[in-house]
Amino acid sequence: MEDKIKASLCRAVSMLPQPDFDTICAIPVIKMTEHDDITMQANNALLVFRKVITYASAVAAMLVLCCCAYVFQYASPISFIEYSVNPSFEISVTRAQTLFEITPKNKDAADFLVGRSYKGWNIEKAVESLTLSMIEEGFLTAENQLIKLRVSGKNAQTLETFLYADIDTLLRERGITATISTSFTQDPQVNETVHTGPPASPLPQNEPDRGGPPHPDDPDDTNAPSDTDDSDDTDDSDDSDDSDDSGSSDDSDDSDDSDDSDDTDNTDDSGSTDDSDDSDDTDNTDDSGSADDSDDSDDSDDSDSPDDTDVPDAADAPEDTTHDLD
Amino acid sequence: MLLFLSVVTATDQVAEQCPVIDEALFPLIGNGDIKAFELLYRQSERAVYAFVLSILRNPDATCDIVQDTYVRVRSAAHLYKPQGKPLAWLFTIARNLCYNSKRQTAMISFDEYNLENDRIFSCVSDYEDRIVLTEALKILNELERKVIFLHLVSGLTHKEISLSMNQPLSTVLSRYNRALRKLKKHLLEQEVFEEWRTK
Repeated sequence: MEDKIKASLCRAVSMLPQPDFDTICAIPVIKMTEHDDITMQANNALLVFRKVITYASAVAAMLVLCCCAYVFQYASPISFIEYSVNPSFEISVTRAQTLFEITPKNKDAADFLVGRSYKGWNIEKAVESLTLSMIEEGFLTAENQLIKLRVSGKNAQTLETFLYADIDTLLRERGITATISTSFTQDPQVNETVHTGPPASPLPQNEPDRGGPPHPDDPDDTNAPSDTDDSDDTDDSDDSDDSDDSGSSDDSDDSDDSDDSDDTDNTDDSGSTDDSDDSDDTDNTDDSGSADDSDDSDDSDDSDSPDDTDVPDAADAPEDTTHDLD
Repeated sequence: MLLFLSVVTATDQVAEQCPVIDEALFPLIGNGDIKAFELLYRQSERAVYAFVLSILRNPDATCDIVQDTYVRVRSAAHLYKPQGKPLAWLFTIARNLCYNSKRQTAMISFDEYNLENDRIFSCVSDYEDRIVLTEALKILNELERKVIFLHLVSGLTHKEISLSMNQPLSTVLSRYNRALRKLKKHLLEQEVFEEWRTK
């Protein structure tokens, strides 16, 4: 139909009155000395200016986009580290793994930061420098050998792993004895996960009987804590592991406990009530059983199975990982 | 028969693509070269006529303005500065003359014309052609008329139209398609064009 319209318009226009060339040529003209408002040519400079404005606007938009990307990458923190030696600091980390801000949490920290600036540093370098300064300033002493690291936010686990390795290497190189306690929270919505590791030190051999069945890895040492069960510590609610951990506490009831592979079945565990020897169970201040129920959510029968309360500390794993560098 | 053939060939000539205008003609015209002026006239008259008609919508006034445009070209050709768009300069002169004419004379609204008693386009013998022309001049706005007439009547490409009117090519294309769609829809609503729907 476009062709029909085109043909119709062309035919119609050609039938309209047309100007005559000879008539135009016959009209006398006076040569103009300069352009008037009728013949003035379009201002090329204005057209060029408009194009320049268009391109400049595009460039400006790109610059704004780059600035936003820069701010997103380098000027907004996504992870937070609580670095505590006493003094204590809170460090915020950007997406590019640089230190965004370091905030003192106590007076010692505030005095330490006077004249110091770590802003923009690579976070690993910053923490290493901070640790060195703690040593040089005498904050890490024989009496105070604990470094606490709490990492939260995005990439918390990875950051925690790297920082621990860096501090560990630094202290080992200098032959410094210290304990590094680390933990991380990967996401605010996710329950805090604990970076587990071997316990700080094995329990002494002369531990009082704790009752419970002997440890499968150490069948001759009925009193020994089940260190190898630490891998089960991550699941405090997994009471099926408690049966393994309870072996050291009550020999006399082992025969009963061995029948109980599940805490819920340990109704006959009437063994030792000497629960106070769970020295590694840092969270079990009251090993008399009932107090531990809060740590073992499935230990519904703990009250019925006092021997289960004698389980070693591995069953009630600490929230923090403590690494002794002796 | 001969008359029919001449009309057909004339329309074919009109629909041919407008030849490229050489800017070197203007200094020659400024020196009084009639042949150069005739060459310029033959190459550009159809486009200038369609352009002015789309603004004024009156064939008699269009004829006068087109004549004035070329008279101005003869008097100012020696002042022309090459910018790569000679047709744009002709359109500029024609547009300024049109607006001056509109300001000076009281133009009667096109809508007041009764289509059946329209004497202005009575020279268009074919009823369908007259309807298409009058409807195109009535329902399209000035910008749409310019693009439609310059492309369909004078044969300018969309790129040439965008260069001559200093408008982006995308604007010209979208305006053309929109105008054509509007014109098609309006024409199909006319009972006389029912047969176009089936063809």
